Amino acid sequence: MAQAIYSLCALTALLCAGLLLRAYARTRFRLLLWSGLCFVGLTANNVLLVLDRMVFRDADLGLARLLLALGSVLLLVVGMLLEHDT
Amino acid sequence: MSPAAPLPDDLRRFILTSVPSVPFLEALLLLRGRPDHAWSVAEVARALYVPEATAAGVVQALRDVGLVEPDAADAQLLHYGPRDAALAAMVDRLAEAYRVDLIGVTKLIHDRVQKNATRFADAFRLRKGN
Amino acid sequence: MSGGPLAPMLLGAIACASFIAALLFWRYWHSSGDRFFLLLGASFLVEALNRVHMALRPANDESEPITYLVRLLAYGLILVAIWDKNRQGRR
Repeated sequence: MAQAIYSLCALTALLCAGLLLRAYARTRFRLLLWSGLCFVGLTANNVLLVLDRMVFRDADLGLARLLLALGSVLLLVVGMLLEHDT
Repeated sequence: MSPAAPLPDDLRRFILTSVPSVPFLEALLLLRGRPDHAWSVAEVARALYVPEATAAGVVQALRDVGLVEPDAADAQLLHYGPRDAALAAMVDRLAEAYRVDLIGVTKLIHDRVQKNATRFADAFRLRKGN
Repeated sequence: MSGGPLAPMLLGAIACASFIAALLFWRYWHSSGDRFFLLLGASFLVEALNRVHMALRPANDESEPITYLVRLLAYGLILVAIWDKNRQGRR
């Protein structure tokens, strides 16, 4: 159950990342790059969460996951705060 | 003077996504005002009271989005030439809105928050025209 | 708690950053009137609260139902936001 839900979360984040980065490729608005990368990080965060249990039984990916999540959201926040009009 | 009616959504979207600055808009309306005349960058700069470099940038931006065309006779000169009828209609509406509500349109052009919000939200439109 | 001794601090940092993201999205909502940003901001707020809860429950890893159900809510709000934006045809 948990894994199914986190997989769904990963897919949702991947959808957001895809839409934002596709729009960035088209328009070159940097805000879309930072927010797209944020969702790439959140996708990876959810994927690692699923793998943490299933695949890497001996390793504890907890710290990596937390750093990844923090980095992703910071990227979004800094992007939104600093992006100036072109 | 009574406050102007709020701008319609599609015109707001057009301004937020396609009109980067007031000189851009003024140059556009300048060229549109005399569609038969072929303008040089220097003429545009003089008419708008901006440095020629600014005018050159603005004119290039207008060319990039398909609002002005190089003159058939002399490629250094330009005239108003919207790339399709829908764009021409939108510019006509924009011209009218600017005439009626200059402050409102100018504020929208400078509204960085709304501009970024529109760009962000537009990324999530799955199909064009949504 | 997985993540070691830094975990509570990192969870707090994530919660704080997510809360700020929510506020920035709500600023977009206020200036544009687009309901999309209300939902997106709510999503990040929910995740912020989720992280705070995780920090307060060290024994919890993400396998607890409360944690994954709340995350489901957070990401569900994102999906609703995208669906809502594309459903109405305008805006």
